[in-house]
Amino acid sequence: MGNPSNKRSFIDENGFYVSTPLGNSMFPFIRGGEDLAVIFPLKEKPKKFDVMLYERQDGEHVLHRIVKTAAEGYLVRGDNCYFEEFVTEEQIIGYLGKLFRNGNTKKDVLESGGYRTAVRLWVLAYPLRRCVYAIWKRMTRRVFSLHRKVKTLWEKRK
Amino acid sequence: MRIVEGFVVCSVGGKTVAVASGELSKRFNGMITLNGTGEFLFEKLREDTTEEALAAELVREYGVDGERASKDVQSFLSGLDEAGLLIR
Repeated sequence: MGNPSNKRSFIDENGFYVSTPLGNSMFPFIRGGEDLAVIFPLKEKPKKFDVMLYERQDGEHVLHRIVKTAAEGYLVRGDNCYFEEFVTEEQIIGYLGKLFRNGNTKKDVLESGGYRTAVRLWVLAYPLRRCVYAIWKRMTRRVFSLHRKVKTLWEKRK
Repeated sequence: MRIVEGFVVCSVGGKTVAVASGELSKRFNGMITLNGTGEFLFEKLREDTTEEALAAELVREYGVDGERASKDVQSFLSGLDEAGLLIR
């Protein structure tokens, strides 16, 4: 009972691990604090679009998606992130095998064809999303900078 | 006494677990593995109950003797209490 401190050994012993992922790095495909993620140990080599639970060098556990496979490991990225990480097979604890939403533990969201298609489109559209994100960031930076300038001028006038 | 709100019970590979979701997952990001009686008691604890009532339910459902039922309930509740998951 309680928080299994070592997910890897729990998975090895029981063949699965279930938890509610925290954070929004995988939004919209995994909703932090809401969805239930079932992690299974790797049985075969993971493929592009698979979601992996892995351990960072600092011990943090992360659930992100493979966006590219290489001979030495995998390039992973959160669906709501704009940076990649390189992960070796030794770092991988398991893969996301089932995903339950809205407390419905009878329906595995990953089984839905629409979900799988949306994931592929989302990953393939990354260059476009990144471009839009960069423009948006630049625009908001300019707006904030302009706002600061106007505020300073206004205060000087007073 | 009852269990805190926010647990979802699910079965994976023939095993049953209760997993914290929503707000609860921020302070208890883990799961509770449940056997048959554990699952039974867990579901009873979703509503206000007492230790004695739970033991009586166990006797009625599983036909175990009262002493063993009380011990099982105590052990189950102490685990939940230690994790701060019981509202008394």
